Amino acid sequence: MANLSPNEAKMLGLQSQIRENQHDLGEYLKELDNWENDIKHKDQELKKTKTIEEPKLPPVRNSLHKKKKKVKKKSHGESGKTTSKAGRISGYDFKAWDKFDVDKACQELESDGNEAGASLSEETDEEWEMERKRQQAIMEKDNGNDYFKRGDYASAIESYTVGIALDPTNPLLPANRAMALLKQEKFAAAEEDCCTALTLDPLYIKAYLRRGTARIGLEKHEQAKGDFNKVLKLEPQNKQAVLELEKIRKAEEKDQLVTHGNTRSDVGVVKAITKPPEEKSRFKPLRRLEIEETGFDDDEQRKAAIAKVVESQSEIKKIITEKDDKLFEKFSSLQKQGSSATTTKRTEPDQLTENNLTMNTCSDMTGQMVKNVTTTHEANKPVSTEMCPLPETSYQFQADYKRFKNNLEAFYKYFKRISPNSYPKLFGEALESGILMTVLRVFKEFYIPSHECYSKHLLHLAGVKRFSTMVMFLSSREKLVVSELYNHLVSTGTVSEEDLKIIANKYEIKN
Amino acid sequence: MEKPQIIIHIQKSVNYTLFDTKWIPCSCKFVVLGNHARGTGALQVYEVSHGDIKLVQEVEKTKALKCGTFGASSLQQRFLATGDFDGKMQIWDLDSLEMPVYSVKGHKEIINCIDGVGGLGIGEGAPEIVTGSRDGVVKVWDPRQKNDPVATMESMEGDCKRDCWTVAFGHAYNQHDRCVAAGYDNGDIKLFDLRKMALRWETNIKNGVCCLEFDRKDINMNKLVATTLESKFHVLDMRTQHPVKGFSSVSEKASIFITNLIAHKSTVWLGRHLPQNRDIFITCGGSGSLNLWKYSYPANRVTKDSEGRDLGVAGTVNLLQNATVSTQPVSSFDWSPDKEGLCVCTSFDQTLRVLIVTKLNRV
Repeated sequence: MANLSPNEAKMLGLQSQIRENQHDLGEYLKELDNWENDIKHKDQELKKTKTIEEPKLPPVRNSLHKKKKKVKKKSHGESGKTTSKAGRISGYDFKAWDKFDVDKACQELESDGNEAGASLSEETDEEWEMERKRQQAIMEKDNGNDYFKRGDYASAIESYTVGIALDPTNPLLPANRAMALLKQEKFAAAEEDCCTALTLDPLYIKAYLRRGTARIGLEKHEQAKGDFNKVLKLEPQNKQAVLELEKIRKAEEKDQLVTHGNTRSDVGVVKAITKPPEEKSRFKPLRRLEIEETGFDDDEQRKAAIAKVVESQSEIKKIITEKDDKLFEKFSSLQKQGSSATTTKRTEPDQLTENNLTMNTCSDMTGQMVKNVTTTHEANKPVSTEMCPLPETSYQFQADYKRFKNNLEAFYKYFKRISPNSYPKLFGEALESGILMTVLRVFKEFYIPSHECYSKHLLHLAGVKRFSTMVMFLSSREKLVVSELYNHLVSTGTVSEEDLKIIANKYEIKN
Repeated sequence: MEKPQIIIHIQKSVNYTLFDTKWIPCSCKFVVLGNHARGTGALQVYEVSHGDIKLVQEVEKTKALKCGTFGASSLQQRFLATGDFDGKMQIWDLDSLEMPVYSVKGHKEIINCIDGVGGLGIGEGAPEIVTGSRDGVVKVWDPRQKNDPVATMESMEGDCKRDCWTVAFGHAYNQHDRCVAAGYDNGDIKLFDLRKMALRWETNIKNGVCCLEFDRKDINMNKLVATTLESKFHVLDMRTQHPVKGFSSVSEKASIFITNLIAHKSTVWLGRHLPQNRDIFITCGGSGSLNLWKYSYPANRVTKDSEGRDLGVAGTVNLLQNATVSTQPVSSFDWSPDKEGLCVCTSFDQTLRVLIVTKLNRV
């Protein structure tokens, strides 16, 4: 064996390895045969014992299969409590205290603690379940909110209802459902939901507001007042509550007036028009008003004035008035006044303002008209510029300009408040010769007499887009105004040479 | 001398394309799934018996069957869950194959991969099945809930939908914790935490991910084998997650240490851990080769980085044996859960093979 060549040795090694592998394989196959028999036997047995009960499994993930109640654990906990109560010794029972074994009590306490620890893992399971339900409820709430936003109140209510079933402790769900119910004018149900929400969270302002609204709908004025007062207590600046209270007060006043001095009550009673609940404040029948058409000589002017006012109103107000107009049209068509319907609509407000103390209409929308008219009058009064907010966009400025262009003084007051730096932004591309001339006239008629410097203004004005083209097309009369302004600047002597040069250049003033 | 041997024990040709094979737990039988030339699905059950295999059951279904698992079924029932070319996930009682016990059209396109957990005594918690499909969606099913998945993982709307090639359960070591790893054709690996219902971690390993498998499903995440196109596979140490700076800390981004390996000189189709020893795994290549590997842990699995955070350390992988069993890619491979060293594989040459790997207990 010693004198083998490396090749032979390798060969022998290989041979022995193959033999060994063969041996291993043979053994494995034998083993495999045995295993096959064993496993077949096992397989058969498994098939026979098919009716083995399923082990307790956790619930299906992300779903709400009801879990089997852990009755056993609960009863265990309760029994534990009762025994501990029984073991309690009265503070006056001194004999018993003498016998009291502190060590034993400590041991008991410890063992109790262990038991609690053992059940803790099960507890977390249940807590986990609760947490999941809560999450699910929140999801339902979000779904409901989505539906609500889309105006699908029925589906929203459905979602909230599912949510409430999942998590009855969340005050948001009943409160939101109440809102949806309010939209559907189911006031009693809404009130009940609000009550539920408030028992869950007694400081939930929105729930009070909604309950108040619901109660107005149910004509429980006293209780509604109580709700709104509560809101004011919690949040003194709450506008909605103030408004609603005001509405209730007015409604009550009118109530009284109607009951007191109603001489021709049943003449031409018109039933209330269905409106969204938040606009609905009084549910008294509407009364027809006699309309006298007086003094329509200046009809055209009046129409123009009204149109102008409408234009200057804010968007929301426009929408509201539009809605009112429509409603009123319905109202007037009911009266079958035919062709005069539109004129009635226009003239009505004035009639009302004159008569509103004596007539005291109960109609909501006419009330609103009254309000509109009072505001229009204000807007027509020349100086309301202090109230006018500073424009931030060229659009705003344009709107304001239209309001003030016939009233130079108002425009001056308004224009003075605008920083010259913001001219390019405000005028943008919209600088017209009309605006430019108005501005220049303001400088001439108001800045010069009050000795205010306007050189900065002129400079910035020159920076506005399309300014140079505008200057090019100025008429000779307009140019006169410009040169007047320039000459005044020169005469004051407070403006630097350079600025003067620039102004002269930009405004094309030839000396 | 002590190298394990890979020996072809039994070979059988069939007249359809083979896609998947699985041992029926606690038996010497296995099922094979495939696609007849006429587009129908094939399901056959074979029994190993004294050096030969017998066809025990055979059934043809309307749609080609792509993948199957017993993972979510109890040992008594041993129901097979399958995914087909039509996007249907079905569960079959092998004793009555006419009608599925559960059927759901879960995906719009072919179900590429399926995995189960919670059955067979493997993994704590509810029995669940995860499917991944060409439509880019990964869905988790509970056989107790009809029609709807219990969890759905898909790309954000508008994002390109990637073909999901592989899914794997893991981390099911208690009633609540469970993870799903999903591999996509663009090399993305995403790890979904089913407890948090959130993406726990994701990475890209450049090449399309053909197969993902945790070494064990029922322990705290330990190792993950990811095989890819271009003859590369990765072993990821999943124990230690390292939060990387610079990413949003909403989800834990992690750098998990990866061992990079090159094998087979072609696509690595599969990686399968030996159920009796999870440090040993086999990879199956596009060239019909099988490579047997052993993973060795480093002396210390965790170090500290410069900021004192835990950082995983990758181990080493040694090739134990290499064998070529076919000229075509090996499409599926399954170790017998009951007999160490017994395995079955199918390849695209329409042949199924029962293999024996010896000396595994002496490695």
